[in-house]
Amino acid sequence: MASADVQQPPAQEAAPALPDYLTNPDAVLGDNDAKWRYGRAPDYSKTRKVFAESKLPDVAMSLHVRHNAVY
Amino acid sequence: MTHEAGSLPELVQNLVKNWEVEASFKPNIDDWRTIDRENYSFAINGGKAEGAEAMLKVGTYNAIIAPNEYYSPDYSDFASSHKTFKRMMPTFAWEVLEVYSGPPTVSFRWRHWGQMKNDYVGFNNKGEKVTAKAHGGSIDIQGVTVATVNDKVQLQSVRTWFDPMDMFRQIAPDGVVKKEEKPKNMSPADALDEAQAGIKAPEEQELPDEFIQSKEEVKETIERLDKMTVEEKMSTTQGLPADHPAVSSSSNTDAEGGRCPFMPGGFN
Repeated sequence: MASADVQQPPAQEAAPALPDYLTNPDAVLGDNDAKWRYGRAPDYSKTRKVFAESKLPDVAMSLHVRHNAVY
Repeated sequence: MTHEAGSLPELVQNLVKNWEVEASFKPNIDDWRTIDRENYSFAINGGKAEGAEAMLKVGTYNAIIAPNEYYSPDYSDFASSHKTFKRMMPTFAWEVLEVYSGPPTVSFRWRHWGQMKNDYVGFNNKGEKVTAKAHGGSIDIQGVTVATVNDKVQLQSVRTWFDPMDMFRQIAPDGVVKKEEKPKNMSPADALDEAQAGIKAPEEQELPDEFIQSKEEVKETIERLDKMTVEEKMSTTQGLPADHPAVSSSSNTDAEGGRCPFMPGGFN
């Protein structure tokens, strides 16, 4: 992806381990001590499933980038 | 997009997904881990920057959508905004498409998409009740966000640009909507309830949500969630079908026996 020219990866110089909210999309769902709007953490399984099934295919993205590069 | 594990696009994507969970479901800002509380602000399309409290008060939809001929936060409180959008489009997935710069100023383009499963019912900038028939097709929008982050990669200044009308054009692709005067002596939430009577979408809900579900449905959802451990919730997000019964860890000691018979190898 278009991250080659980024100066430095996040947080790597500050700590060897990245915060969990950067490495796991569901990290905060495990915050049992937090107050939750409906008394407990929500269930994101359906949204995450839709995400996994219908995220944009890589080939479509690379074509799109190439297309843009022409103009 | 499939982003390499640990790549900048994947890290940004995870950060924003966690932020969205917190903004939507953690009513106490002190519990938010994805923001730099002292320096956090949020603005859409160059509008007035607001703190986390403002978003908590009106809800994420109202904080993001400007008043227009289809919808207005002025006539929709937190509860009715959820009814309007979550009933129409039960899941609204989000992905990062491209990252243009990394910390401390992270800029990226994103995509937000779902399926219009039920009729759209909302209140517009004139207070009229607007309805659009469900077409079952996709609603698919994109935008750009520029965010500064601190050394813990917590969000500070979050500035997003997108075309808010894009979503409504896709809700009513032929411009066909029904507009009615808002019923008098009725709150927007009650009027929505009346208009959406008969819509049952709990199977698609990702939460026990008393704004959308009946008391019984909330109870069922909570019971289902209670049966799941956090680990199971997370592994479910990796792939078990949406309506797959919870798989308890005790019954899953046999790697073959405890798994879904239709997808014994699991999902990706």
